[in-house]
Amino acid sequence: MSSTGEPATEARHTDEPPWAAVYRAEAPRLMRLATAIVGRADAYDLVADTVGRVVRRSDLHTIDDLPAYLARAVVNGATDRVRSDRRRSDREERVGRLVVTSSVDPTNALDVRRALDRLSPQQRAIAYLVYWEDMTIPDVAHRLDVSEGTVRRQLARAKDRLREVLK
Amino acid sequence: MNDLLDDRLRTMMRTATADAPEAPTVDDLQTITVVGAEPRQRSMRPIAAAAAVMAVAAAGALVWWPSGDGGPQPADTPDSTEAGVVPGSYLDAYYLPTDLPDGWQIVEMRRSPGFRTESSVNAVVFERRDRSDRALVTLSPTPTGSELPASTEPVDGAPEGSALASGSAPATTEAPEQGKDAQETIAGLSPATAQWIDDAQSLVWSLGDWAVLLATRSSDEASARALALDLLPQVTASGPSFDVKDASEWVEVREYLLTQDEWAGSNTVVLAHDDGRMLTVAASRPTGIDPLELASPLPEPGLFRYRTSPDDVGLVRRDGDLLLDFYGVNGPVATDETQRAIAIGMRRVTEAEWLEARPDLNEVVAAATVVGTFELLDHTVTAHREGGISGVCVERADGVSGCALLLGVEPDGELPAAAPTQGIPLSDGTWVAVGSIANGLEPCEEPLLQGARASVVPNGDVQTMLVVPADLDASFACPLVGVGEGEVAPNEVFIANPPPAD
Repeated sequence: MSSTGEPATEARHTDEPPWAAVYRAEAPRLMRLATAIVGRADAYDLVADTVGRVVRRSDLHTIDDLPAYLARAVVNGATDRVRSDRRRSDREERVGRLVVTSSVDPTNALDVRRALDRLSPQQRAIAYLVYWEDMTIPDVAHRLDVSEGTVRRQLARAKDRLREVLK
Repeated sequence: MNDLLDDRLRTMMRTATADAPEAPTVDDLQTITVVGAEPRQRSMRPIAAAAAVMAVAAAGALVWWPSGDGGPQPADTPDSTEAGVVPGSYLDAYYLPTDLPDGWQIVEMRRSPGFRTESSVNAVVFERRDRSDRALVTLSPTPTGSELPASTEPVDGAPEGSALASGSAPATTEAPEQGKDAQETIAGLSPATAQWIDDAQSLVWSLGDWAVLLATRSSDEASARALALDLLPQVTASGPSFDVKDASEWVEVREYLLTQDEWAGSNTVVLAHDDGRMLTVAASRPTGIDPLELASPLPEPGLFRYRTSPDDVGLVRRDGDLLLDFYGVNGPVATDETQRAIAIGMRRVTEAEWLEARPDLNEVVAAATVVGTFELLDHTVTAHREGGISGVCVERADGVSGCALLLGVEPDGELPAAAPTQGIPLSDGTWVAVGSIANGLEPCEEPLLQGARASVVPNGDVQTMLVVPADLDASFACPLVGVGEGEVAPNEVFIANPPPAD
């Protein structure tokens, strides 16, 4: 309890760094985004790693749109992670892709995970932002700092890749 | 139909994110050490890279050659068997396939000049008494003046922005650039605590200021560890070496004490199949450790197989004092009968015949289907892919142009992020570099590049990058800035100056 009688947690907030409030508000979205891209098992590490790195930046105060910046950091971190994993275990991934040969039950978590493995990290992020966050194409483009054309193209590719298994 | 698909995608995203774990707290973020999600693996990467370097060095640099800044070929190229390697000269041995099977064609031929550097490497070859396995133990000195921390976790204390801090090396020079980091990382490891490196299938530890790498033909970790404990350090005029205990199951076969790293150059032929397979054949003359020390003979005369990674084996043909190294990009070589037939069918030809057979790379690449086009810095970059051909052509606004093979161009034009950033010689003798960097990153700034210009355009999962050098005649590194720098993403890319036209 602080001297003002406020709960300890409130008192702690006053000592927090400036980015804490933004992060706390964005954390659930970032976790869902990370989970959509890399899965539950790696989501915590991904967010902790990428956000932890961003908030240590000496030029953090110059970032205009921190929520968008954090989202991009998570997507980029996931891309690097998936790419690194892909180099290490391309064979396993090829086998994994072959697993998805029949229709996918969109309510079955395992099916969904396997189906999402057919998409690139950026495509997973775009699909998440469009279909879960209900963001518009321009909003997604701003959030990920890519062109609207890229968003449309990647979303179309994602749908093409999932179309046959989501019949 | 689209509405139904959209509904299913919404359901799918709901399912995918329904079990999202709790987010890290603010306290977590302030107290965690940011070393990435896979600290164990990442902390081993420098070792693995160095192990790979050492393994390659030990194997006589079968698959490594420099980027080609050795200058033009002297007019009177001597026979390198007479007086060692003459730096800058080309290997005097040329090979071509005889009858290529259907679907295969030569897409590129290149030669890289020899070089010589001062570097000590000692090595000892051991063999099991029952001849069931062989081991190659190499010793390389650590860089002088480097302080070796007691910790084997180097990431936290590394200077910000360095390759060590990032845990990631420049994209195309990862192995050669990682030596110092690796030596620091393995400091303190003994034969009893030696680290097994999966990527190199080798055991590493340190001996004073020297790094030790032990590889066996069987790639059996237990066998390697048993031998490591049987080794007895020896002192020679060329640095430390090893003997083995009398009671060991292993006996010494050969010892190398080398004070120079010589490379006689290589002449390379790249073959592509219509189905996308590629096969590279590099002829070389080993000058140091016999690259076949750990290779296993195949039934065909002169053919050997050797392990290149945990999953792949390469194919080598010995022809007198020359070696032809066969390695594929997307398929096993040693177990592919067609490629083994190509290996056997390679015949020695004269330099004139070889040069005459060289395809026009520009025509080969440009003839393949255009799968992507980008406008950058007054240049038009086109990505090409067709059958086994994938590459990039660049045309400047004034019509000057050039092409290069670039493995792995996606059908939609996306360039591979893992491939080296490639220098492309243009028709007027200048060159440019095309590559990929992760989204969110920005390429190097002008002052660092002595007038070079760099620009990127979005290209799917990556960005296509074009670098136009100015007054540069050597390869150089291009630091990257932006989100994603750090642990996993490379913090710079290496711009490889193309080999001189010959």
